[in-house]
Amino acid sequence: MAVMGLQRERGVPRRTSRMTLRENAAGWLFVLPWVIGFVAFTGGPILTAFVVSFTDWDIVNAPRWVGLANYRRMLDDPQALAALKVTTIYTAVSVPLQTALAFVLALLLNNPIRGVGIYRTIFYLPTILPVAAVAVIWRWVLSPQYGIFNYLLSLIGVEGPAWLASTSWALPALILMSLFQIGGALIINLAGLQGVPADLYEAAVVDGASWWRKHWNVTLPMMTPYILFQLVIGLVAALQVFVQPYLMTQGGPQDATLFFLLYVYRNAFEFFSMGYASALTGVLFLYVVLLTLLILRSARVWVYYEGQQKG
Amino acid sequence: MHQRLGRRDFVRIGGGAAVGAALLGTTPRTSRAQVTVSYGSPGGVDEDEAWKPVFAAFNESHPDIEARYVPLGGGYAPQYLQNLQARIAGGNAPDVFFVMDGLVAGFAERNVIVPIDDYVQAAGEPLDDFFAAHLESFRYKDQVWGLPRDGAPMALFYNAALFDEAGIAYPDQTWDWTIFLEAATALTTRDAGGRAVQLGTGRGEWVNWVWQAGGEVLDPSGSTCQLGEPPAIEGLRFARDLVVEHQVAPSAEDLADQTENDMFLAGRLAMFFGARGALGAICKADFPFDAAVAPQGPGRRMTRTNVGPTVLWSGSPNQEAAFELMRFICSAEGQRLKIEPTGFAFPSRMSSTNEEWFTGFQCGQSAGTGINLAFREEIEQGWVRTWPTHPRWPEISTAITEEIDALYQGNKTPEQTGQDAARKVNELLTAPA
Repeated sequence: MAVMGLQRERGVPRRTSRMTLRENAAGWLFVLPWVIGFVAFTGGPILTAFVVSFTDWDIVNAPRWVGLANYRRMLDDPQALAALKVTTIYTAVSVPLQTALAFVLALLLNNPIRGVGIYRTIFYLPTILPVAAVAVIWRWVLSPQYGIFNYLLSLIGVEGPAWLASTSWALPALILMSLFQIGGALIINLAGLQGVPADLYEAAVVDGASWWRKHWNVTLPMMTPYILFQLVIGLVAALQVFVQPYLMTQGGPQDATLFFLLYVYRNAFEFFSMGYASALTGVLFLYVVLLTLLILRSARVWVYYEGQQKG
Repeated sequence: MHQRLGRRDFVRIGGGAAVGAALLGTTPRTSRAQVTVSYGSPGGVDEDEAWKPVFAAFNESHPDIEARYVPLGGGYAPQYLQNLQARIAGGNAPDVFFVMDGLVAGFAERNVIVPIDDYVQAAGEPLDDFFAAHLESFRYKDQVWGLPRDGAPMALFYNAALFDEAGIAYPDQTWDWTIFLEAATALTTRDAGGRAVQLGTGRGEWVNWVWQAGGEVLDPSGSTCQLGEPPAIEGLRFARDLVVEHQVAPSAEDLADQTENDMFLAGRLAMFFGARGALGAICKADFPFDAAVAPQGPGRRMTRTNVGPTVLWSGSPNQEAAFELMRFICSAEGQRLKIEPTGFAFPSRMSSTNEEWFTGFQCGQSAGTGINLAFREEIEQGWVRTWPTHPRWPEISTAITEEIDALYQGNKTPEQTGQDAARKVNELLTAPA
């Protein structure tokens, strides 16, 4: 009996191992294209950039190892710090505004009104336009003399600012521009709103909750995971803005819109300092990670997951 | 009944197909071309057309060399530089290429390009037909690093109709800063709300005013910035006053809507400083126009000239043949073939500017010969300069431009601008590269 038992134990593991191996191999084969692509076009370049950040490399000649010199240089570079400040201000203002606006719009578009599909399409359309095309259009929208914004302001007796030509208004102009591309967040919010259990609203009505109470105590808590998602995604995107300042302002006037990635680009391709540019991107990466972790840490306080018990 | 394809038949057919595809895929080597060289330039619809006769003529006259025109894209903008750098890093840069004004020293310092003194000597190529101002921009460390394919100083385009309406004499060599400002003021008109309907003049490049005041950007050794010196500050003051004090030149707000070219074409700008290439657009003007030399400043008459640098890649495997292509592109014949059909560019050779195809060029409603001769006179008289030659010029230029922005916005005085610019540039000049 013992021998038979041993024979069974020997036979079964061998069949499982072969099957497991085959399944594992099939799985790896399926993901292999993605893995190759990731290594070749993402992971590899990231690692290369990290190594290059410790070199003095002007692209056209071989890199020269300089250790931490690029990182030390950053501490004495007022433009790098100024660019980080501009980028942080843009992120701190635009991301919450985008999130709030997308949430409010989703609330409005979640009602069974006539033509709601058309309204949703209209609000989503700007998202699918190429950023470069949008930038060119917005240059005209923000034209001090011929732009529609200043024209509308003139109708109410207000003289519009110089927008992109003004050191005070250039950054707010780009923030304003960012609010028109919230289509993605809008769709996610709509999906989230439609996933809120109806019985929660029914219970709230039974308890005599007003419209405001319903949304404050039911909708908002149920939507916090989606808001968290948008905050994180929005933060990562905002910290990497490049196309708009590159096409619209070139960082001016007087570095008022000198975003961090634009400064990286200048160092890499105009100043022949790819090593320093790589170091700057390394710092940006750490900055993104730090801010993301801060948001995720704060989520323990304000994000509610259905079924979660909070003490 | 189907007959199955046998294994041998399959191998025969497959092998034959593979050989056939290989033969079809190979570019047939022309019997005459033994060496292939390429020329890189930003390209574009108009530019690509303009180069065709040049390359056709070169290939016909050089049966042992096949020259190819390679548009790298990106326009005359930083994107072109990025494309070029990628090619250089990848080891497949064009043998000869155009590089932005002000970058020759940087490329030379980094051994991307080679000096051509030996090739010039071996070919017996005379350099004295080139305008000295153009050729000077290629001198670095006592060597010549390229040849100019074209280049145009900035002259003063003016709307003759607006001058006639205002009863003001056209600009000429007697103009100094005082007369220039008086004319600009008289040609500026405003609406009831005080907004300028028509402005008297374009800003002109800040460096023109600095030079005209007797100032300099860098000292002759290129080791110190001199924008903080009194002559330079005087030039910066005049530049700023045109915009901020007298308000006869476009503000940042005006330029956010239109370029000076566009304002001139729209009849909103009576004068502006531009290179001869501006004729590409100005020829479409529906009013008579012409060009004149830049005004005389307190120090001298001086304006900046563009240059079309043509350089030889250090990694080219066929440098001798590549130099032949460079010679032809920059030769009188090569420049004529490219420039004559449109007339927009300005030749870099003195002999070319005496040819009838240049002196007799007319376009649109050009009212006189200034569109040809003003530019020639400036360069012949030595009233032109290029940007300073320095390997870190892109960083220097960016640092100065930031201060100039503040000057035109009225946020800094000319003294502050000059001193801050000098401080920033001197920090760059002393920092390790």
